[in-house]
Order: sequence, then C-alpha cells, then structure tokens
Amino acid sequence: MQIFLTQSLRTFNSFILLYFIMLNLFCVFFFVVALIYVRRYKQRQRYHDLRATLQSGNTPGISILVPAYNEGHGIIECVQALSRLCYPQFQMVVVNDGSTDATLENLKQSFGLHCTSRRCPNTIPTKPVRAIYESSLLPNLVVVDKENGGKADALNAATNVAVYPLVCSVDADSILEEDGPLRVVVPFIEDPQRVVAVGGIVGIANGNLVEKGRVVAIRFPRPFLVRVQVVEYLRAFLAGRLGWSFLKGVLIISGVFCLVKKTFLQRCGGFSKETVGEDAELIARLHRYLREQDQRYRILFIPDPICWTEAPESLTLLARQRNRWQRGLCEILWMHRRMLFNPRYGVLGVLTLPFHLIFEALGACLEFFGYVVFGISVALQIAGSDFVVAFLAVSVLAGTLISLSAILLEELTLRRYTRVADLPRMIWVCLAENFGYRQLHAYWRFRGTIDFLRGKKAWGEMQHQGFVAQK
Amino acid sequence: MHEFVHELVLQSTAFLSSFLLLLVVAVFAEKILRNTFQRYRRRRYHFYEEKLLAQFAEEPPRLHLGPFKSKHRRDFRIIEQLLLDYACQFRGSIRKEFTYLFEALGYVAYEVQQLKAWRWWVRAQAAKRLGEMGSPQATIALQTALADRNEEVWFMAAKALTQIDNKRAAQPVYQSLSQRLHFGNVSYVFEVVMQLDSEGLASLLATFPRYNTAMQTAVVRALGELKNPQATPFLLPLLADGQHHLAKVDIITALGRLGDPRAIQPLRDLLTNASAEIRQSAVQALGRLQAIEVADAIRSLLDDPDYWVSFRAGEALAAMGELGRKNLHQTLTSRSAQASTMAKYFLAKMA
Repeated sequence: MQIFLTQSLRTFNSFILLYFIMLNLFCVFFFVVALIYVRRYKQRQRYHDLRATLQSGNTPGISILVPAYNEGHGIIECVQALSRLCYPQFQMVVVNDGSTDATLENLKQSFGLHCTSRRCPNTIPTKPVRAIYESSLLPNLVVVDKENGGKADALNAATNVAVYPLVCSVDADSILEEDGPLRVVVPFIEDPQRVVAVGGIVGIANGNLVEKGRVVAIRFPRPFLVRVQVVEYLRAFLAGRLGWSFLKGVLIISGVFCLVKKTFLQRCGGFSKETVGEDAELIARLHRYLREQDQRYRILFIPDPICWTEAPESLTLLARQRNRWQRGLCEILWMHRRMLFNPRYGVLGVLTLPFHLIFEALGACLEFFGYVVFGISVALQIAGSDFVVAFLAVSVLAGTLISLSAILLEELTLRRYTRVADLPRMIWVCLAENFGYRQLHAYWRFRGTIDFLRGKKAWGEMQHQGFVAQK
Repeated sequence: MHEFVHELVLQSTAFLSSFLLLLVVAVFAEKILRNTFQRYRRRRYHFYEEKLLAQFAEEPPRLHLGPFKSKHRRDFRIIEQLLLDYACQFRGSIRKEFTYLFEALGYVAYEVQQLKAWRWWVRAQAAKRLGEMGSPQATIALQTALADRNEEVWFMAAKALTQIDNKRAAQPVYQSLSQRLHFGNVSYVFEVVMQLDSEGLASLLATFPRYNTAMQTAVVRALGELKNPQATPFLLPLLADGQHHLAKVDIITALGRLGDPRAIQPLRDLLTNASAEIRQSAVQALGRLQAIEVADAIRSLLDDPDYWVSFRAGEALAAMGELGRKNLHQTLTSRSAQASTMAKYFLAKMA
C-alpha cells in the first residue's frame, strides 16, 4: 500500500513539474512574442498622426455604453469625464439599470435631462425600457431608464439606442484616457473591412493622481495588495493578451474598455446574460459566429494604455473578484465547448481555448492540489528535503522571472512608471508575491471552479472607493 | 527518472538565479541610462532653443548657421529635432529659411543617406523628417523610396513628397499606388489622397482601376472629404448594380460628403433599395446634401420597417430646416405609429 502511495505521489509530483515547465515555457514564448509585437506597434505608431485621425471625416463615430446600477455617487464625474474625451463624434449612452439609489435623479439634475418620445428598437431583446432621456446641456448624452436586468442586459439596451457604427462598453467606475478612443479606433480605420473588435491595456488607477476625471500623474500604489495587482495586470496585458493577439487568438478583452462593431454585436445577439464574464464571452461568440460564417476578420488587442480601473484593496473584495473571473472563464469554456480542440475555429479552437482550459481553468485546481500533495510528500518523506527546496526555489525564481520580464517589457515600451524609486518596489513585489499571495490566489480560483460546478451565478457585491479621494 | 528530475531542478535553480540577477541589472541599467539621457537631451534642447529664440528676437528675424554648428556629435540630432519642431510651425519665407538651414547644416544629406538604412523604421523616420524639412533636394531620393516594400516607408515618402515645395514632386505617388498589390492600410492611402490638388486628382482617377480593393475604398472615402466636384462623374457610375466590387455604402457616403447636387437623383433612386443599410446611407447622404427636392421621398421613409432608416430620415428632414419641419408636421397625423413618434421626436429636437 505504502509503495503504491509513494509511486502515486511521485508520479503526481513529476506531472506537476512537467505542467509547471510547460506553463513557464508558454509564458516565455508569450513574452518574446509580445516584445516583438509591442516594439513593432510602437514603431508604427510614430507614423500615425492622431491629430489627422481627430480631424478626418474617415474616423467612425463611437457610442460609449455606460451601464449604471446604484452608481449615484460617481456617475456625474464619470459622465463629465467622458464628455471631455478627445474624439470627433461620439455619443454617451448611460443606462440606469433599475437603480434603487438616486442615480437617475442625479443625472436629471446635473445634465438637465428631458424625457423624449423616442422609442428604443428591440433589436436585442432586453427588460422593458421605461424612458429615454436626452440632455439639454450635453447634446451627445442619452440616458436610458430601464428595469433591472443585470449588466449584460443594460449593455444590450444601450446598444439598441446607439447611433454610431462602433460601440464600446465602459464601466462607470473607470477612467478613460482622453485620447484612448482615438487610439483604439485606428485599427478600424486602417482595416475597416476585417477589424471587428479592439481592446487596449487597462491600468490600475489606485495611487494615481486624478483630477476632473483624468489621470494626471501615474504613481506606484502603496498597499501591497494593489501593488501585486499592478504587476499582475502588467503580466496579463503586456505578455498574455498581446501574445494572443499576435497569434490571432484573443479570447479576453476586458469589459472595462472594448470597442466593437455594432452590427456584429447585434448579429451575435448582444452581451450574454448567462455568464458573469459577459465581455470575454462576447469575444468568444464573435469568433465563433465569424468562423461559422467563413468571414475574414480580426479581433485585436493593442498595447496602448486606454483605461484605468479601481483595484480592490481588501482581501475579501479581491477574493470575490477573482472568484467571479474564474467562474466566468469556466462558463465560457462550457458554453463554447464545441470550439475546444476543433481546428475549424482556427487558433482559438486549437490553442487559445485548450490553453485556457488546461492552464487557467484546470490550472487553478492542479495548482491547489499541487500544494496539498507536495505538503503530504514532504510529511511522508517521499520527496527529499534538498529536492523540495530546489523545486520551491525554481518555482519562485520562474514566477519572479516572468513578472520581471513583464516589468522589462513595460520599461521598453510604455514607460508609465518613470521614477527610478518605483523599480526596486516593483522587483520586491515580483519576489514577495510568490510567498502567500500566489497560494491564496490559487485557492480563490479553485473556489471559483467549485462555485461554477455548483452553478453559482451571483456577481458578488463590490465596493468602490472612487477616485475623488485621490485628488 | 527521479534522479534526472532531481538534477533538472537543481540545474534550473542555478540557471534561473543567474538569469534573474542579469534581468534585474538590465532593468535598472536601462532605467537609469534612459533617465540620464533624457535629462541631458532636455538640457541641451533648451540651450539651443534659447539661441534660436534670440534670433527670432532680431528685427527682421533671420536664422544664422553659427549657433547650430555644434562641436558635439551627440547634439546633432537634438538640434535637428529642435529645428524641426519650430519649422513645422511656420509657412512662407521663414519656413524657407529653415529649409535652407537644414540643407546648409547637412541634415538633408544625412537623412537622404538614412533612407538607405536596412531597418525600416530608420528609413521611415528619415522620410518623415525630409518631408518636414521640405527641401526639393530630397525629391529624387523620396521618389525612389516610393518603391520601398515597407508600408510605413511608402506612406512617409508619399506624404513628404506632398510637403515639398514642388508641384511635380507628388506626381509619381499615385502611379506607385497601382504597383502596390498587397498594400492594405486604408488610413495611409486616405491621408495621402487628402493632400491632393486638382492636377493630382486626374492622375489618381486614371490609375484607380489598377488599385486593390482596400486602396480603392480609401480613395473613394478621401474623394468625399476632398469635396472636389470633379470626382462626382467618376463616383456615380460605381453605384450601378454589379458594376463594382466596392462597398456601396462607401460610395454613397462619399457622394453625400462631396456636396454636389448632381448626386441627388441617383441617391433618391436608392431610397427604395432592398438593403436597409443602403437605404440608411442614402437618406443620410441626402440629408447632408440638404436635398429639399426629395423631401417627400425622405418623408415616406419615416415609416420604413427598419428603425434606423426611419431614424436617419427624421435626422435628414430635421437638417433641412423649415421645409423639413413642414414635412415632419405633416407626418404627425400619419397612421403609422412609428412615423408619427419619429416626427414628434425630431420636431421636439428642432424646437
């Protein structure tokens, strides 16, 4: 019995090691690919004059969709910040998704809203719309008041009202870069036939100096938990998503900011109400729809900082967020299981979805069990102490190396954190996150997978501190 | 097997530790060097800027070579950037003085050399700078660069040729477009066409059939923006069914932007097209053209089964002023609920 147990544990440990090597090789590959992609993008960008895009009649209009549920405290700043965007023609569609607070009243008072006789076409079915308001102060502001139906339903209602050919969803608690939409629209201008959706880099706003809804100075935040998330975002956006974009297999474009062609969004049936990861699900559905229609298309991710979002500062909120992300991912993989390992769906079917299944969805469980089994192996003295120490060292070093590579990539391309003093702090975070945070993260994701299997659908309440305090 | 795994892990630890250390050093070195270089650059830039501003303070302002003949090789690019930053802000005689300065200080010759670099971004940057310098001495080098395989180099060279003070310099640009079979950046072609004068337009239209679809799309879009009525007789035949593979919506939009009343009747005919997308673009174009003679036809679209066609018809009528208001008033009593709601909405908006 003991021999069997020993053999099983050794086999599992070897499997974990193999898995770990594979994962890190993928990360290195993505890093190299992202480096090439970002450098090429930045070099090309020098020749693209944003002023010409701003003045050109060739620049398509954008409808900015802002779902708002109980956002009474921050919605006014959000609309004011959006109204200052540097873009030739855009419309803001704020959807009051049955808020129980004073969201609608605040909007009415601040922007002189009046009820119009306009009716909303029900191209994508949504919960009943009570009224559509327009502003006498901001001609490009439309407010849709509807019954509560969740974020996806609110976004669908906003899409129905949108007048421009491109739509983008923006969270009410996020800050858009003033020229962000102008940068994101460039791929649509360059290749109007094929480009269907474009996303950009989302940064963490905590710690930054924010004035009048604009980030005026970028600072590395103070709380350790937020610092870890800054490094995580760099890793995810700079290495991960750019790598996938280069391979033409982007699965996740953050819902914080994503620009999509309205016609395709409507043809796909809008945002799904069946998942908590409606942003990523939409991208998966777009891929699926366009592949099934045999259309030539491009879904891109550009290495430009477009938007800033508020990161959770407490463990409870972070746990909730990561749990939701994990459930969202599992739901997408389940909803689009037909695409998995299916060459008909190109890179997405044979590479992106299998990668997300093996290393992201199942990876959480494997990592969690890996820690448990490793602990048992050490306790039963199946693995030698020198081996354990060496393995842990490799694991920490590889993790640090990958995070550091993301920082180097940031340094070589975006250079948002200009102060030399920020660098040692970042390096310290890269090392320290391996002790405690990584294990906790694996546990949250594992819980997320369990919650998915149990059919949990709730979003979980999130509290936002807001940006006003950071002035 | 177990021993092998053991050895692998130990070897990896050593390798990763040294690589990590190297990476940390690299990140730090890069940051410190970059910051130092930027500080130096800023300081020298301001130093030369003061000298340049002192020359502007003279009456009349004259640019002398003296202060910019630097002994430091590393200042060469800093001075170039400073002069380019200021040159772009001027037109006429002062601009010509800047061009002379670039020629006399050797910047034109230097950038012409750079056009032969093996890295595409160096070539593109050189073409961009030559355009900003505006020296006719660079014409031949830039025309040669039009044959470059890289899209950015072509774009910068084409744009530069339109910036040079020589009308004939840009002639080969439109010819070169027909030779670029795989070129697909709509935005580049659009920007270059936007620099076009009437003489260039004839050359462009003559070579148009040889362009690929992406380029033709860009040209059609730009023609609308140019607002040159010379383009109308060229665009109208493209509207005929089965005549062209180009997206009709682009042609319709361009006709609307052109502002030529000759497009009104052909656009009116499209209001009954089976495609809602085409009806929508046609009514939008007519609204832009302020086509009051077809207001009745537009009014009938307020009842269109497609919501957005009806919405655009309302917008078009609202843009027509008093006549549009009259038409919207007449629709208020329409039997169709959609038409009357739309009319009510746009009347309120006009008020």
